[in-house]
Amino acid sequence: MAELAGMDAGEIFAFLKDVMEREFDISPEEIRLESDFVEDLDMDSIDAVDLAVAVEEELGVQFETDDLTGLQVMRDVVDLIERKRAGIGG
Amino acid sequence: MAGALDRWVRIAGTGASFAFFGVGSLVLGLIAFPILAAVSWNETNRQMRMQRLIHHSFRVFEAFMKAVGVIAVAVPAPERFPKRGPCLVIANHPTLLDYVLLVAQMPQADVVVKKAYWSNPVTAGVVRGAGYIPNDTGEATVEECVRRIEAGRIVLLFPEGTRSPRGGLGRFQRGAAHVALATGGRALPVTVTCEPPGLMRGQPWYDVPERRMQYTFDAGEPIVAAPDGEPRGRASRSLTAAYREHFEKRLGNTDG
Repeated sequence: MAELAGMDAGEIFAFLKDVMEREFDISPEEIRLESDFVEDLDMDSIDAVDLAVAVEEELGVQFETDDLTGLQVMRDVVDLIERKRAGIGG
Repeated sequence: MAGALDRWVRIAGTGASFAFFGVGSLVLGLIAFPILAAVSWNETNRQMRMQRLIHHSFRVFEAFMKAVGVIAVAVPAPERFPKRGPCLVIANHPTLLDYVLLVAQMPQADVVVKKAYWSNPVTAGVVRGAGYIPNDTGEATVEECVRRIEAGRIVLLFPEGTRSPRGGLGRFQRGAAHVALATGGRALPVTVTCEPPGLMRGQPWYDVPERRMQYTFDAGEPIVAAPDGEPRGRASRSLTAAYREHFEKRLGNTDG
């Protein structure tokens, strides 16, 4: 399991790119912070669930259903994980 | 002169066919289905009976459209169409009649259709009575398809999710691949062609082609997912690409 507590936003983003290449065969070069999950990365709702599960398992965070609604671009997920990290730290 | 007359006859035949379909759907939804519901002992039994009735009704509809000269239908390998499940059938979707004519070939089919059909007065009775599956709920749609196949039923799914763009294929969604991966990996592909093209997306019903539409429903060999234990996100992408490649090849061969 990766250590979320010591990760900054750049490292979280790099971690997410690694997960998305492994899980969905999406090239890291295609992934930007402003990449739209549907329009740019061709992800669907099932991919979103798989991504959430992978992040939960590998970073040890827990998402609520409400956390995942309204996520549109990669930056939204990085921000969400940072908020979770702050919650862990606090 | 004879060509123009023939075209007007087919416009009239097409109009009569749609009127026949609309009235037939209302009769099924308002009269036949309530009767079947009353004499069925559970939901599965009701859906099976209604799907069988829809199948026979669509065979009559197909015969009517053939009789009035609007369509001809060819099924090169009828033995490949499943008579019973479990089976996942996937098809491209070039015209308005694909669903109807495909269901006419199969005695039972749980069809994945647009949610809008539940609020359309002509189609609501059919989709509710038959227990069709709405295609707008992502993972829940996949889970319902898997549940039906595991119960030994035939599921018909259009991977494009809507009618194909003119002369080609739309973007393939990955739901079909997810269903296949969760149910043993097999899908029966049926390539639908209509020559000359008609009743395409955005085309009014009265814009009939220059001659009778020849439909072909070509069932191929089952496409089987590679059993390599990849994450399902990767596996669904490669399987969806295989589906698309199959249809592209078949449509290319057909056109050529």
